[in-house]
Amino acid sequence: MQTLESRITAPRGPRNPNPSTRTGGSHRSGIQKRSSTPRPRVDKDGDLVMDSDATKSGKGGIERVRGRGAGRGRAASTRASNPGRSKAAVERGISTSQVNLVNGSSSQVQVDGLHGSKAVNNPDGGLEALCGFLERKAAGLDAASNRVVKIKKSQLRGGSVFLTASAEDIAEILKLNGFKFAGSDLVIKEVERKDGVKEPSAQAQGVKERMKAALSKRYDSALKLLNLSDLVQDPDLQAVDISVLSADNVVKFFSALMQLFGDMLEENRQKRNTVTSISIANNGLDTVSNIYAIGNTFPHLKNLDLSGNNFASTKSLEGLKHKFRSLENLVLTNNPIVIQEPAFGEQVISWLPKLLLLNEVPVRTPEQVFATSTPIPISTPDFRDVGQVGETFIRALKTNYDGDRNALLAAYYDDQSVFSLAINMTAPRNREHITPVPAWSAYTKFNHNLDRINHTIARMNRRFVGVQAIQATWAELPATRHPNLNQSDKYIIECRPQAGLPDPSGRSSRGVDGLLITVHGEFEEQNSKVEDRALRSFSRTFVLGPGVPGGVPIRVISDMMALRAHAPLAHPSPAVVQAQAAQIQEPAQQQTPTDQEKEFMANQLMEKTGMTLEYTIMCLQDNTWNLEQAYMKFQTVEPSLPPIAFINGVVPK
Amino acid sequence: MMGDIPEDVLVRVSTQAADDFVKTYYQALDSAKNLASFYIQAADIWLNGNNIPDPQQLQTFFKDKVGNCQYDAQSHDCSVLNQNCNIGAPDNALGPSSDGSKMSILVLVSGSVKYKDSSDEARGFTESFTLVPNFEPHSQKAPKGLKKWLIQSQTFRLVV
Repeated sequence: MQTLESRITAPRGPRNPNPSTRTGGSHRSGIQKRSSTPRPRVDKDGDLVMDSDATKSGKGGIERVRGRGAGRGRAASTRASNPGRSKAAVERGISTSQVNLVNGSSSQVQVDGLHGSKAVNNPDGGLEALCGFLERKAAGLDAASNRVVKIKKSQLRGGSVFLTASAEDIAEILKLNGFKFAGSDLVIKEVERKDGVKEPSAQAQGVKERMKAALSKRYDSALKLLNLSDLVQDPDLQAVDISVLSADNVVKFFSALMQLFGDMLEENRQKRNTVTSISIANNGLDTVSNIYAIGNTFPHLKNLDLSGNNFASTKSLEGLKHKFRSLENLVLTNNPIVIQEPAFGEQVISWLPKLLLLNEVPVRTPEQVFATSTPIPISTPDFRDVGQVGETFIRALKTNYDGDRNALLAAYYDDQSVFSLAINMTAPRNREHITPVPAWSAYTKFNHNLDRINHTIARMNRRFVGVQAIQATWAELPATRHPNLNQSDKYIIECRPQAGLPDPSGRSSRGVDGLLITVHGEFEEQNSKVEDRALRSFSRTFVLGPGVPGGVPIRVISDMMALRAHAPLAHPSPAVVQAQAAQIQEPAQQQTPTDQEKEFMANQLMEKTGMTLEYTIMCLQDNTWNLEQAYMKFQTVEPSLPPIAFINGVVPK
Repeated sequence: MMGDIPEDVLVRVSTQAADDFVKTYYQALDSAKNLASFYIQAADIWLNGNNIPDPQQLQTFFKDKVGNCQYDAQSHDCSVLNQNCNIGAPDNALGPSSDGSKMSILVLVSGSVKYKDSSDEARGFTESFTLVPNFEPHSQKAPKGLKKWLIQSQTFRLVV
């Protein structure tokens, strides 16, 4: 049987029965791969950049990896750490046959001068030192923007160094031409794209481009739909007939497609917004596990069309519950299962907690989905301020905790204010937020998580009382940047009166009222090193009360911060927000009047209009028992009313 | 007024109260048993922005609507709000106490929870409680084993 690889690699020429014996892949040795995650691309509007020659976004953020083993172009290629599973599959399946799907099209420069530098005596020939130097200097040229320059690959060849990076980064690196490095002047020039030393073979590149072309034709950005139906009919894919492929190769094929597609997207989190629907109709698929790569790439996929395939049993669909949990709409028509297991729906619905439509039949309402996503429905924040004290405080907090902590202390804290900080290092996160949690080291010495800190002495030492102690602590805590308060998806803020607080004037022994404020949100640490700027989630509870006479008018009695790994907040669904906003307005609108009220209104209207009771009631009913509205309506239609509408059949003057 | 309670007593008593509370409260929540006994009758209870009018309705809500659940208080912290809190105190008990027994305590909990029948993923929550002294034990006829502190206000939010 023909394998997928041969279909991809040798679409036109004679089939190569044993691709692994080919040698074209060796050109990759000595190249240090510098990034392990796919770098998707999106233009400024967030749309996919499908044109493969488009400038790559220079956005950094990839974990920096520089292999140790690579010497002067002889060492085996050094794999970047921890490549994603799908990528490994792609490389296993495809790089053996020289199709390099992974390397995107970046720009290259040639750097001469390393040979004459002192660094040439380093174990690695100075490559590491040179790259580090170039990255630092190139980034530094544009200091204002804090940008990061990343060299993706570096290769020593014939005394010259060839560097690959995004076009933007290459532009910065080119500006370093003539800089002195370890005693040697560097000559940096751009490498023409088609100089023969570029990555995969023209043929492999061709396959990749064709696959990309196919993908771009099949992506509808307006509908956010990726249409992978009838792949066998696609001229760009050289009639890949999935139905005749081994299961293993189908998996590889979809991995490769998703890998390529991923390369075209900017960032993982944008995938959510880029594709909401995928059709894989009419491809002869017989198990969902073959398309796990799609679920991995689009864990938030909402609409999936699997019609016209070979799914024959619920077992073949079981993978849905592992990889497609966000599905709202699933189409399985024209599959054998519809006849062989007509009751398959029940099982499928139970696997997909958010499913609304199965084969176009409603199975749940959005409200039902929302209600079952937590037994405690998520409602809009309870914000009951008193004289805008809470709101004013929150604005000051946002501005000054980021910008001027001493000003915040001066305005709201006194010598009895207490601050403490607890870290929840094991907090759950969303399934899709699996980026590593940045180290907590800057916070641990202040950690007042009583679950961990058991001794009274430590508990006392990690509780900061009074402006001075709090000031010293805040000075040591990392600088922060909180999102603007108008970014409502970044915050949940609740506020309400709290009774029984100490009365600084000593007058009320039963205590006085203040406010209890809870802020849930996130902040970014402001480190000098951009790559160390960790994003953290926090909850912070404040109790505000009246200040001591002569001191701050409103003081913070207690300020407790709980930190956890970053994850987006759970917000009420838009439907709930709308419904609750409407609820607030509704009582003012109208309620059905009682019979007594109706009678009163009818009498009033009859008196004013001279209409018969029958017409009066009709008029009121038409105007939902709103007297004023009914009278206005009467005035507009009066000339057209028949005499019978009026008492004694006489139109009043 | 402030300063009546030595700092070590204040910290020991308040943090111990928070430890005990967190341990027993979440156990009770998981099994929806005797929840009302943790609250003063006039408690101000808000779960995800929904008001629960009184402790009995909270008990019913957890028993009937929430069902089996698994709360894990992964982190908790506390702070003393008032050293002489008189919410619900009888008129003859308004004076301060130096042993910390009249403190009101704010407890902030961050943790995870799994609800039965919903998605099997753990969700994150943050919850703050104001605990006030339980003045029942002060009276002669108070039964043994009564809680020293009761919930006066509760603000719960699923944050993940």
